[in-house]
Amino acid sequence: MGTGSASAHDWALRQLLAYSAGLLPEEELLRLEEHLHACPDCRSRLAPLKPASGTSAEHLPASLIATWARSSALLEGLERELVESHLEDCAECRAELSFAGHEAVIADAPPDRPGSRPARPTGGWLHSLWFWVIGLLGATAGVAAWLFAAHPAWLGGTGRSMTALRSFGHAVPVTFEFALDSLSAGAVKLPEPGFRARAAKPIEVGAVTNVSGMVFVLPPALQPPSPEAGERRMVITLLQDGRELASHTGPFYALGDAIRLRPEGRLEAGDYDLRFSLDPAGAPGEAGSGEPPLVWFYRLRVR
Amino acid sequence: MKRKLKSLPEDTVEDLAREAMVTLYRLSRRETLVNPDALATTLVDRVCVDHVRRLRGPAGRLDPLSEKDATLVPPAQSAGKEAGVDMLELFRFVVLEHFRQHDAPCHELAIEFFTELSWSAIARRQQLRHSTVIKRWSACMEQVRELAYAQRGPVWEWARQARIV
Repeated sequence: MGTGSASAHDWALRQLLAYSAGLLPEEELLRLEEHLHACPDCRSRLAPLKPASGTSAEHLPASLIATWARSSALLEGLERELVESHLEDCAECRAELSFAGHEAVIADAPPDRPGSRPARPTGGWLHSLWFWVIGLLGATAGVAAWLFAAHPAWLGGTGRSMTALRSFGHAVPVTFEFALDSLSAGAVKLPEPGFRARAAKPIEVGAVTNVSGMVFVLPPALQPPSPEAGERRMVITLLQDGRELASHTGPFYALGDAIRLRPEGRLEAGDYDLRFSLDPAGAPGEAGSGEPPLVWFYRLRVR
Repeated sequence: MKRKLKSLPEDTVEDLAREAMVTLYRLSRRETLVNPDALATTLVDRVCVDHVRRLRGPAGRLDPLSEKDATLVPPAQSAGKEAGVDMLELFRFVVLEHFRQHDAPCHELAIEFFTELSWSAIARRQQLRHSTVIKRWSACMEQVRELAYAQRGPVWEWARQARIV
């Protein structure tokens, strides 16, 4: 095997897990499948990742059923809801749980697990209340977005805007400021994002405090190429370990040349993801537009 | 199982035996089993091999291991670890269930891919170009990536840790 094909093989080995999870990016899929066609070693490594003959990935994994009392308690959020709703619909999985000696009920989350949270209620008044709160927040956000778009001076006085943001279950509330001067001291220039990129090399941003926050100069891809594009909806989200810390929704044009991220206090050291999600052209929130939003991620490393 | 895997705690043996039995039960409900003893032996081998692979972490799932006759040695740092859930399988299940509830075309593609693990085979069967099937799936995949970044819980944490999203 030559060096070229050896490195192609190493590359392929590194992609196999993402491939088997269905998560390999489009441009790499074709290349990997070409390699698989010619590489018996990669094919043999992939083979055990197929479901056992006669079983289907559509049902609860046998390993989850076998360890149900312990493992189901660890499920959270959406994954918990999906398992729960599947169980309601699937007599086969209920029968298998019963066969394994378990009740077809998801165990409660252990109370002392760090980061655990109670299961979302599935009905009743609390559920209704939750929808009311979401609806009210949505309406408030809508009014704020309209004010922001139509009368930016009302919010900032100078055309610069500060938006109060949501913060879910995590200690440090964070605000975003928009349309800053790109020559701000200590600004970090964000690189051109890869299209729908996977988590890229982290950007070292040093310490981030409420005194000066952190200014990011936006690359051309994050600036509207035309006035029409400027009207598209942009959602900026700051995440840590997949948890949403803060989010802002507004028109694309409002970003300007640079934005600032300002925590209340000091942002904990660690890795964060800054996500930009742009609605497709001509379809802000329109149901059935078919096009997914364009999404870019930056991994920030805070000291 | 004890022959196959060295120094396995009782609880783990029980979990793994239950996993093999659940699969056997699952198969028996779908078709008549011709030789259940041989099938049970095969399933036990497979469960043991999968257990060792899971203990080796996400990338360890791809390690070549002898499935027949040889004694398997779990990685040293895994001593005392309980048998856990196959996170790749749970990830696929969550993706399929999400699509089942929200996006039928993506659901259909995902079922085919997770069963066969070959887009070229799916393209051939659907009489479509390879690149067309992949493009369709890419739109579905973006939904999964969005979820992976927005959601918390062991499935998404596993995906992030494995660096597949």
